[in-house]
Amino acid sequence: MTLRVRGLTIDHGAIRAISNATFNVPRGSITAIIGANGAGKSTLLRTISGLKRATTGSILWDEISLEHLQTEQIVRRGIIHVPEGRSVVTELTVHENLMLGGVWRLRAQKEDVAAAIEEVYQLFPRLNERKKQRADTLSGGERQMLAIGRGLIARPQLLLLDEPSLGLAPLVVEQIFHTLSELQGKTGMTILLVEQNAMSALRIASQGIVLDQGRVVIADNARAIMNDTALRHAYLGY
Amino acid sequence: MNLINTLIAGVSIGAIYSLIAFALILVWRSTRVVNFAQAGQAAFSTYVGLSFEKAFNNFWLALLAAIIAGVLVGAFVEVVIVRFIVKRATSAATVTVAPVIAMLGLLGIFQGVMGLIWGGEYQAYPTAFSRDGLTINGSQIPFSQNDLFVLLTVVAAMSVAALIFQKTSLGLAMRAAAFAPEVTRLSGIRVSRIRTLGWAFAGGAGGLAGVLVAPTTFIAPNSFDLLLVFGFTAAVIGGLDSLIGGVLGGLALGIGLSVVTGYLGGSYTFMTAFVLLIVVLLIRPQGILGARGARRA
Repeated sequence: MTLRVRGLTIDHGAIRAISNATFNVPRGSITAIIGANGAGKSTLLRTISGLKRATTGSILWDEISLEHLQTEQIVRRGIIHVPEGRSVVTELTVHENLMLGGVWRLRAQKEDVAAAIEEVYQLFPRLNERKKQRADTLSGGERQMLAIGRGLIARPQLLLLDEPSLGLAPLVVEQIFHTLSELQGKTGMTILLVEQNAMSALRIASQGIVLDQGRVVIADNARAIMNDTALRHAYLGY
Repeated sequence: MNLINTLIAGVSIGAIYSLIAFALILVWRSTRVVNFAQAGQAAFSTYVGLSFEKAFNNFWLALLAAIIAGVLVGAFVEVVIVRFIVKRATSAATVTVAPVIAMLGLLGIFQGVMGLIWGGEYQAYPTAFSRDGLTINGSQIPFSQNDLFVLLTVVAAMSVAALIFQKTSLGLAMRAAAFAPEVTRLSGIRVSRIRTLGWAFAGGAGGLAGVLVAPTTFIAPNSFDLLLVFGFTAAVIGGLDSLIGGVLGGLALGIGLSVVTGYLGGSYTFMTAFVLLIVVLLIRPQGILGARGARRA
């Protein structure tokens, strides 16, 4: 299953957020979408997960077009979006947040939801220690782990991650990215990672897509992008 | 006037305020709308109960009918009206104002329709239990069999609600949708359906409150308007986001107003509720148990 984005244009009122974007996210890969703040990265993910509608263009997953489906239907096709800002339900406990990720399939797959929650606890032991605490008592890194964990309960085939490194200490970022990379290797899922932190993202990605003012300027092998000094200067600012 | 008697006298009406506060908070949490039409929905449901009462002469059947009517009317209001108003209101000003005006307008429509169907005059609503004060150690207290029935019914309804909210996946989805609708949608939950359910539950609670209070207030198209004011005050005292806060706020308000009525006279009751509402909003706008941070509307 490949995610194919074809001629996608997305508007934010009068502002064009994404302009005629075309790219593929190959199955079983980590693809990093990088670019400066305001490049349209979050908007792109919000459109894939059905929170926002595209103006024109198509998004195909497993040869099914997603652009007219509701978010809940997209979740049921194995596409899980973890939005930016460590988005957890702060009023619920850690365990309840994880449960939330499995409510939609609880009736049919109760055992598997419980197993998926156990796996998340093994992946992030800190969450296991704090499972009865409210999510607003967690540190930033723990919250991000919980946000990702909530997504994993659905056993995603395509995981859309928006800025998981935002505002976190470098050591925590490294730990989370390492876990993601390992997890991807183990499960074979496809990860589409949106990041401002280009270096960290490209290090675990196999493919990189550079967005500049809503346009795809480069789609290439992640290593090639990392090694291209001129490109880095032009678009990534380092 | 004996203080203990005064306190006791406020318990059952306080329980009814709790129920209205519960309904208002449930709706607030699910859609961020203060449902002023709740008074009309509750009266409508109570009229349906009264019609069943007259037709079958059975209090319990009428109670059930009123609750079901409340559930259906609540769901109807959300699906047919509120959903579109919320969707259309996109600017900061309309998000806050449009639902309030719409709900006030809807209250007027409800009252007009009820007047057309059931007439405008006050009608008595029967009760299954005696409304004479119980006698303890030879002295009568201001607490009747009916008050006990009201109190136990509200406690039972709240217990069922608490079980649903804390122990079921539906309750988990409702709590999540209340505080983080986007994350809830991204978790595969149909938040629009959860909203409808919130309005339906609230409507059912309103219908129940109507049948419990109608033997005291009688029923007319606008006879629950005051109840709405008290229920809203209770909800604000509790902090609009907290169901437990609203229930405690209702009991506190019922008992507090009973003391005011007992010592200062009934003419001070209404004013006291408003003073209390303003004082709470000034000193502790997040309510007793409400979430920290500024109120959103």
